[in-house]
Amino acid sequence: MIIPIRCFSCGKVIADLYERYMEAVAANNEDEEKEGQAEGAAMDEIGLNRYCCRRMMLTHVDLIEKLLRYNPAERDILRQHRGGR
Amino acid sequence: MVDPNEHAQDFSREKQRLRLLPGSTDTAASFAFEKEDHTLGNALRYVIMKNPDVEFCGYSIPHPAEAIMNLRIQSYDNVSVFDILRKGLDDLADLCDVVTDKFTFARDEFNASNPDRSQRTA
Amino acid sequence: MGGLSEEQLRTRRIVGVHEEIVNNVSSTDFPGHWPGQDDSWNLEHFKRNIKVEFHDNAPHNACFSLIGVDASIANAYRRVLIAEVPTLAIEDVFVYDNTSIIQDEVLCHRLGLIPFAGGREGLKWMKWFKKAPSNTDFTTATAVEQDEETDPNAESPSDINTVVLTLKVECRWATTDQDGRDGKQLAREGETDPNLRYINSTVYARDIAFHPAGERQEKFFSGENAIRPVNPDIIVAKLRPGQRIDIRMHAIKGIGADHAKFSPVATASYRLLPHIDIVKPILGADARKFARCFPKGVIGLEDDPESGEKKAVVKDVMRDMVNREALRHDEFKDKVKLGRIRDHFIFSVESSGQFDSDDLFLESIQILKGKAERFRRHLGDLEEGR
Repeated sequence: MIIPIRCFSCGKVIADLYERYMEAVAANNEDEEKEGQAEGAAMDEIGLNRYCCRRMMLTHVDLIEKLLRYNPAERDILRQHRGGR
Repeated sequence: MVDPNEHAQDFSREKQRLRLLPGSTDTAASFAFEKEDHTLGNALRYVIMKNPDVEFCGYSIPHPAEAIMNLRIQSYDNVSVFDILRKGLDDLADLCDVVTDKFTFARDEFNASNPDRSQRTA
Repeated sequence: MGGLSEEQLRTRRIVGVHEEIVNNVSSTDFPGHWPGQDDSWNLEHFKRNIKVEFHDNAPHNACFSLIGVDASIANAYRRVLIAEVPTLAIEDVFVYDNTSIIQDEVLCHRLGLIPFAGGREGLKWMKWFKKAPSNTDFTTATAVEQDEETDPNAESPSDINTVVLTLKVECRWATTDQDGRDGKQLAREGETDPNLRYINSTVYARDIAFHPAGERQEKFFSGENAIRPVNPDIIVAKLRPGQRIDIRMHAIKGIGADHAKFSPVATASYRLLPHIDIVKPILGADARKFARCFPKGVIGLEDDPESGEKKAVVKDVMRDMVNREALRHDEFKDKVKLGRIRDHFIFSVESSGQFDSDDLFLESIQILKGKAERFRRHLGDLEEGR
């Protein structure tokens, strides 16, 4: 759901690297030279060397971003906002 | 002033964790080390086996759910197993001091000659 | 009797790796194993033989060779590093308010895994906190024997065994008054970046505040020694406007054997130094093929004056991973021997940040020594009949 704090296998802290990883992947996707290897290059950049830590990033699906859309408080505020106009 | 070692050296409350198992004689005995495992067991077995008075030394952990490590010592020539265990523990402590000295020395030397603290290029 | 010759002593150090088998696996440096060879414990001899070579000493990753000790000793240090060096981690979490979509127990678990650094002196000075089993939990209460050596106050949290941390974050829309931009307006215009729309939409480990309790904690954990997360950028949770986290945490000292969150290392491992013995010269095209059997840089090619061809030589064994590819080819038959050096341990200690890696190793040596000294005392008591 949300990026795990540590690698399950070796215990390296990885949650602080996730934002940098996503930025690096986005940047690499722009780069034609790194076509097809955006993730691999990004993991090298942020220092994820072992395959246990690499799979943590590579296979993570950030589902929390989807769940965060269902926020009743926010919906009310938005509705209020629209109605107030 | 707060002393960082204020309670470091008080052993009076320490619980006895060493037991002599039944059936032991002066030259052949089994000891039970409570709350110990392979860490101390194997290291201690090694130093004790280095003693020429020792006929046999081995350790086992009888059950994985019980934090107990058993150490068996058999000696030659009426040498007391207590003396052998004591020498083994002393030797292990001495060994650790030597490793500490050598390690500290090597590290300081390395840090002095490699200000960036790394030898690797890649 | 002379014991073993120089040559025999050399081969005794090598664990053989053959096409289908490994041999000479166990150490044989015990008295009585080799006739006439004096293998008894000798501190002076040990001092002369042991060697430490550093390859890398970054704070978070140290790599060094420990040469001249037995596997049982090297392994004891490794085991102590992983399971017995104490560190600080969050153990109890009091959730006053959590309206985020991360469940309480998931959030608490995440908080527990965050490594905390702080004054070393202070961490040494801190005592253990032992949670008393709940008085309705009879099974645990009977199983946990009363340990006389833990001090009677260990069951109640105090400034000597507990560090108090708090996390109080509330997410809201960005407003023109406070932030110079109107999040709601941006949202209507189709802005999707939560960092622009909201304030505090991501909770980071750096939002955790440390509250020194009592005079001694203020002394030990002030200024740069303050208790703080090692990695301030850890994403703890994500919020949306109206969601709030209000939490109080108790961090205690513990060891990796109790819970992996207390382990001070991400990985602590060793491998034995590979050994490649080229018995008969390998020349020309064979030499190039031989070099390809190993990882890059392990085998080098040199000019051989005798044959006028290129000759394979061992350049850097550290890079080798002891694959047995060279043994599969007939042209290298009886020309090469592979193995590992039994007493050359290449340690790699990767700290999770609470302590420097080299200090951790020194600490592990002290802990093993402490165990030996402790049982030395207990042995004295045992002999006196206590």
